[in-house]
Amino acid sequence: MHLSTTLSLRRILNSGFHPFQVIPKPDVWMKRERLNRFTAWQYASERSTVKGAYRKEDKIFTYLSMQREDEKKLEKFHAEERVRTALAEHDMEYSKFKTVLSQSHILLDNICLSQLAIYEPRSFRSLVAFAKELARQEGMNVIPDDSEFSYDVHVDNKSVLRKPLPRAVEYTRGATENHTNKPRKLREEEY
Amino acid sequence: MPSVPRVDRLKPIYTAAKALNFGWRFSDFLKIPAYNGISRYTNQLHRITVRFCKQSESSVGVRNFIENQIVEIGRKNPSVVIYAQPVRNSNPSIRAEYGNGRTLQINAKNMTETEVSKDFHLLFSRSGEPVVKLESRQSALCPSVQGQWTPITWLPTAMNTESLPAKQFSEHKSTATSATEYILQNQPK
Amino acid sequence: MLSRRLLIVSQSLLRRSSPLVTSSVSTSSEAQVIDTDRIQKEVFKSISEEVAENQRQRLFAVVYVNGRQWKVSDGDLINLEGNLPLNVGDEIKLEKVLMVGGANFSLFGRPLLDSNTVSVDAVVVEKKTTNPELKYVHLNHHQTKFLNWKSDEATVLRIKSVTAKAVQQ
Repeated sequence: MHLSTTLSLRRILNSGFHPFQVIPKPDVWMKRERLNRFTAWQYASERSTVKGAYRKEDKIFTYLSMQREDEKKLEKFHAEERVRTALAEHDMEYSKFKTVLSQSHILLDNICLSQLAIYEPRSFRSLVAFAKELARQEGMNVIPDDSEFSYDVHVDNKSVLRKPLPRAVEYTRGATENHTNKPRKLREEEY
Repeated sequence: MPSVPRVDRLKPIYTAAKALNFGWRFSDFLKIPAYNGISRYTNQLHRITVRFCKQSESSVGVRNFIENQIVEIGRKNPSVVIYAQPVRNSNPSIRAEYGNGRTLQINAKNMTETEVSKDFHLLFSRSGEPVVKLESRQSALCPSVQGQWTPITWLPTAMNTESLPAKQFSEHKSTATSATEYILQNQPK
Repeated sequence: MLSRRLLIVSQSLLRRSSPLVTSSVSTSSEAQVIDTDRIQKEVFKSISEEVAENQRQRLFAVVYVNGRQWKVSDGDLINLEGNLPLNVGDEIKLEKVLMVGGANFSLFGRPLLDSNTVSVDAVVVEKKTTNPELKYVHLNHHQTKFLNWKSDEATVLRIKSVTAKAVQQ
């Protein structure tokens, strides 16, 4: 017996809606407004069609979210780059500079150091001169300053340099141990 | 989210830049109107109006707030004018007017007393500047005390009279020993 | 004093006070700490002159507030994260000072400078909410999107003054 035709008919006849009129839909106006708020400034199909606009909106949201996540890391990254370039101008190496600063307990961070290098160049220069002198006294190889801008540094490494202060612990996400290597097989007597 | 920030990848930067033409996102530097706080602090809020209905259910919280807290707040802040305005069958709202000519309105429909008081205090502590994304966390009247760095700040003055390129200014400075230097220092016997 | 603070002598600073010292030590030569006491006195004297109130020199300081270091000067605005336990109009003194500098000197703390010597005064000028930021997760092929607009509270400080007392000898 072929029932499907009849059953389909029953579905239409028993339903609450008129069989030939379009089923009323909830109003889309508010949704479109919400969408246009983000895509009205886009071009072509991303502005004029709904499907394209939704695709674009999704993309915008993704990038906004990415931008928010990256903002803090980028700030640190740019600060470090700036400090590196500033040190390169003064013929100093970043690692030696940071080592001397941490050993002499000067806890300025990269963000602040980069601001000093840009806005207070003479303070930064004096700090670099200090780091150079101490690095030289410690036996590191450094390029001497240009005599025009050189500073008299009256410090000695023994009275200034200490063990660096402990750094704040950063708990990274992920496994605490290295689980890539399998544990050793137990010997017979160990069972 | 990678652990390394996305700076050295060409494609994400390019595509991100394409997506960044947000006409609706305002950004500004950190600002406070009228040099407030430089010599002394004055509250920037001038008037605050509470509109509510005496009967309707949606303004119960506002009514309770007016009954219990508003007089005390008014006593503490004599510089601010507070209006309580009963309007029949209206949605309750709190409207604040600031010294820089801006008005801020909060719809207080169906809010509880604590929520209303929280918003009220927020309006009291605002300066009237619009909330936008900040370009930086800090702004300065005078950004540099020693004079800002320029590309010629640390250039040797001898460079002024020299015709470039000159050998003394184009030396490569390095702390590492080059192969030539090493051989010159340790000559084979 | 030396144990708290670092002594870095700039030539321009010394040239004004004593022409003798200028030619004595160059960075590239061997280490020789000579006349340290005398130089220390001279440096402290010149810094004290710079800092003195009648000079009205503009100073800047690096302070540690809100888990972050800020280079501030008179009249700066700084935006601190979070709803801090301060009211609008409250005056606070920022005591963790990492360095102080002026046009002709800089003092670095190891790690902090004495809070009695340097004072950084600030006023709370605004407490507000931040612009909402987006947290968006789109799980592909699952028809799932999470759209969260995150907004935080912020406290804005105005730095009233950065002042330092004369360095003790």
